[in-house]
Amino acid sequence: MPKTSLLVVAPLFGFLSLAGCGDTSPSLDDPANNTIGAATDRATALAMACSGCHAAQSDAVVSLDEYGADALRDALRRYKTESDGTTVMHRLARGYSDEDVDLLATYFDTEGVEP
Amino acid sequence: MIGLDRRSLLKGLGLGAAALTLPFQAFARSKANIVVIGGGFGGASAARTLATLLPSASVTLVDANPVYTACPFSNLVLGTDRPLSAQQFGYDSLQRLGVTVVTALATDIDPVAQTVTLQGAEDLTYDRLILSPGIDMRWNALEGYDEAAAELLPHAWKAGPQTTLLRQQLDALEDGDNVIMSVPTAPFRCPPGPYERASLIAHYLKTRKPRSKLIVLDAKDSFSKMALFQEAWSEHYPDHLEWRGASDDGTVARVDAVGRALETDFETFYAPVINVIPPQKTGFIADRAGVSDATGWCPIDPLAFESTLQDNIHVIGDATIAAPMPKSAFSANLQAKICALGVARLVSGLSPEPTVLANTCYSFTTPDEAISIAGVYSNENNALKSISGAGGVSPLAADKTIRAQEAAQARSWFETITSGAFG
Ligand SMILES: Cc1cc2nc3c(=O)[nH]c(=O)nc-3n(C[C@H](O)[C@H](O)[C@H](O)COP(=O)(O)OP(=O)(O)OC[C@H]3O[C@@H](n4cnc5c(N)ncnc54)[C@H](O)[C@@H]3O)c2cc1C
Repeated sequence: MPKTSLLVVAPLFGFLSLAGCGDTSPSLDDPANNTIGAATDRATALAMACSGCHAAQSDAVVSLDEYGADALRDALRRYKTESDGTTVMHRLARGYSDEDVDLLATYFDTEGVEP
Repeated sequence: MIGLDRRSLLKGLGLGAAALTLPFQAFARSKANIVVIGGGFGGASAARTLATLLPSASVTLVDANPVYTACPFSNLVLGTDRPLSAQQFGYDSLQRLGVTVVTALATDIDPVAQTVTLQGAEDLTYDRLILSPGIDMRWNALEGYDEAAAELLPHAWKAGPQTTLLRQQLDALEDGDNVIMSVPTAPFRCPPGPYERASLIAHYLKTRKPRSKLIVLDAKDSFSKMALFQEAWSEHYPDHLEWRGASDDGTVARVDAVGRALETDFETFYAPVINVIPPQKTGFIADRAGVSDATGWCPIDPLAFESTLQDNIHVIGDATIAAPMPKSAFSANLQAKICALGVARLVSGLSPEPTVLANTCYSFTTPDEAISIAGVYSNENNALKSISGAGGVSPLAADKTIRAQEAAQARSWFETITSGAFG
């Protein structure tokens, strides 16, 4: 159960953000648009900055695809809080809230989502 | 189910060929007709993201050329043995994703009728138009520097034949003769780009024409990653690179292309090889669409990069007024993806949501060492703003291994960003 809950959390965020603008969006009743809402939610948008560098594994940059939510959350929190860190990841991680770090960690977690 | 959808989006954005066979049918069935003009880092990424998010929509990508030549890493073509072919990318993978690719110059846009005029191809209509035309030079804004002058004194600020011309001129240079570069005031494409180029031309001279030297005439007194570049220059190129800022008479006032001379207020500099990086503006098609303003660039609402001047038109990449985000390939690629998410929401009756954007730019100071600058930005409340406490540059006086690591990260970034855009 702890493993699958990582997969359930992210869709919830997607629907929460949809609920926020539901009043102004008549076509939300259309299930197709609920899907678009989830496929374009905050986690997806945040992750787009990461995929500029982290799509595939290389000898210099890790792939986030197989990282695992806990390990990724820990790594990002460490980058964020190590005040003397100077790597690109330290400089970037300082711009993200803890909530957004959690969203990203969950987003990139792939356990159980292989088709 | 939704996890699967998001995964297929991630995969579709350049994470492997297997991704293309993943099920897209769960996505919205919007039949929207979306046209993207400009198949560079911005436009190609926007078309890819939209085709993945909206498989039932019509996505058309227009570029004047069938093959795109990338600017990032083109300074390595000038200064090392990197071939220009390593900079070139086609649009086959976008076509396989269902994007209609049209090779034609867009010559006009009617933002009221929502039509695009193409040279030598049928006109297009659109529900939503995304412009990523990059830059054009402001010919004659620097007196004496026009299109004809650029054939003698290349800018090489759009990669391709101009890059080859500048390299040929360097190869023909006699050892002992000098090279001059002219750099404009901001804003221009790739703020650290001129200084990376200066480093790699200096490397070329040091290794192949050791009695020659590069003189950089700059219209500014400070520039991106300045302390880091100057540290590298004094270490690696004390005899091969001289930089003059504006208060040291560095501002070039006039170009004499035929005489191969640059004039500042007080001096005239002659050299057989002169690289003029001229003042720039948005690609002309943005002017035709009525989305550029008096600055020569395009104001946008950064939530979905919608033009603030015309309805149903979005502008991304170098063409935009997006400061503090720099005019970089990283920015263009990310703006494209955020714009595409926003367009997918808009055509599905949802409004775009604010998010956090970022940029990372690496610059080579030698073929094996690089330095970096990073920034993190919010796009809330109609403005891009740097998130304070985040971002910044590589440490000064760092160990060689850090510079080598950032060079390796840069090479990895180039692979990822080009496969993200072009497949
Ligand atoms: C020397 C140099 C080094 C650089 N290094 C880096 C780097 O290391 N990292 C980085 O992030 N950025 C770098 N950049 C910046 C980067 O190249 C640009 O920011 C990026 O290309 C912007 O993408 P874009 O989509 O806005 O424009 P472009 O990539 O220029 O794409 C515009 C496309 O639109 C097409 N087009 C324009 N008008 C029309 C029309 N009317 N009809 C049809 N097609 C049209 C053009 O043919 C072109 O293919 C560098 C730039 C230079 C010059």
